[in-house]
Amino acid sequence: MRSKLILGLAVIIIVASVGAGVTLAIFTDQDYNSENIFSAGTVDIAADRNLGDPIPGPMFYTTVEQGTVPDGGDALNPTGVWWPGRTEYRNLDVRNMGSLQVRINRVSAEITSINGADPQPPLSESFAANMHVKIYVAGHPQTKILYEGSLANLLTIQDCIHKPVIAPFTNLWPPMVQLVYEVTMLPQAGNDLQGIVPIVSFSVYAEQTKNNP
Amino acid sequence: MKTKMFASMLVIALAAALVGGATMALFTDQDTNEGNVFTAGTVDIEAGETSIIVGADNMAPGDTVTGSFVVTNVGTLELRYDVSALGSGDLFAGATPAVVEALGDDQNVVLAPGASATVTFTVHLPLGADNSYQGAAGLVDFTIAAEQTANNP
Repeated sequence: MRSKLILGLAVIIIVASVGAGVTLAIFTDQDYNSENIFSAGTVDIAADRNLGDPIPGPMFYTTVEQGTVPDGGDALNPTGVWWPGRTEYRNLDVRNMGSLQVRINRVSAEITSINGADPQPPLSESFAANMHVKIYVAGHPQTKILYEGSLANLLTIQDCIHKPVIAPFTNLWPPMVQLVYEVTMLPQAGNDLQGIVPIVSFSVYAEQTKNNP
Repeated sequence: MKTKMFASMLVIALAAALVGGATMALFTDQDTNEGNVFTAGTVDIEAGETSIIVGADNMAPGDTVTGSFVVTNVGTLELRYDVSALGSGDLFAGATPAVVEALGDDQNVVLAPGASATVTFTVHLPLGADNSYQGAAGLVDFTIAAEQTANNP
């Protein structure tokens, strides 16, 4: 009976307080740890020919004029014309311009034109089938091969057999790996290829190595 | 009971992630070396006109006449060539036909791009040719077969 009385009084007091506009308050505070910086790293590679030629420019060019860069000096390594059985080597320096360690994981090629026009079969197919491409890390032609096969297969992106790793660019010079492109016109190439002038692009692809087994 | 509930929640969360299209991604980049030119060479040999052959129009048994023509490498690759001759017509038929023979080198002759060489030949009517050859005429076709020398031992 006594408890009921106390409860009734408490309810009356609370209702009276609310009715009179009395407010309840508690002490509070908050603080911030602001401006936390989260910079995403970058994967950024640059691929340029070497052997002393000015850059940018193609690795393989028939005449000096084709390989010369405007205001960059003359090209030094024209191949001249190709014939069945001929092999030529050119270097491609792949530099890591980004802030993350990368690996070269894929390579590809594209025939962009033949005789100044869009490549058309059967000539483009014959050319691609009769050109053999081997890509390897300079100095390691037997052990660090990225790709070896026909240009025809390289026209679709190929996963590298060996995937060279390049450290991130942290100091004065970007770390690099030098690739060798060994290209052969196969001995069985036929007369249909005589005198043709195909133009080819070679691409390299890189990916982050972190969290990427 | 608690474990089963946790497992159910995990399955629901994974399913929600899949439905929501959550994907794994990696940073990547690519660069391209463009404009690589592969000009295939040419093997192309051209034979000039045959020089005037003195006496070829009035040969007697035992005669030998001499002629020549020039071959030029008009291709872009060094080549080697062979010459072969084939006579046709009455003069080159029968029991004692006229014989064509090249003088000097006519096999495996090497020519640089733009270079020329002279092929000299003789046509000999054997002394044993009888009257059946009187007034006979014939033609000689020369075939010059060329091939690249590079990577071709």
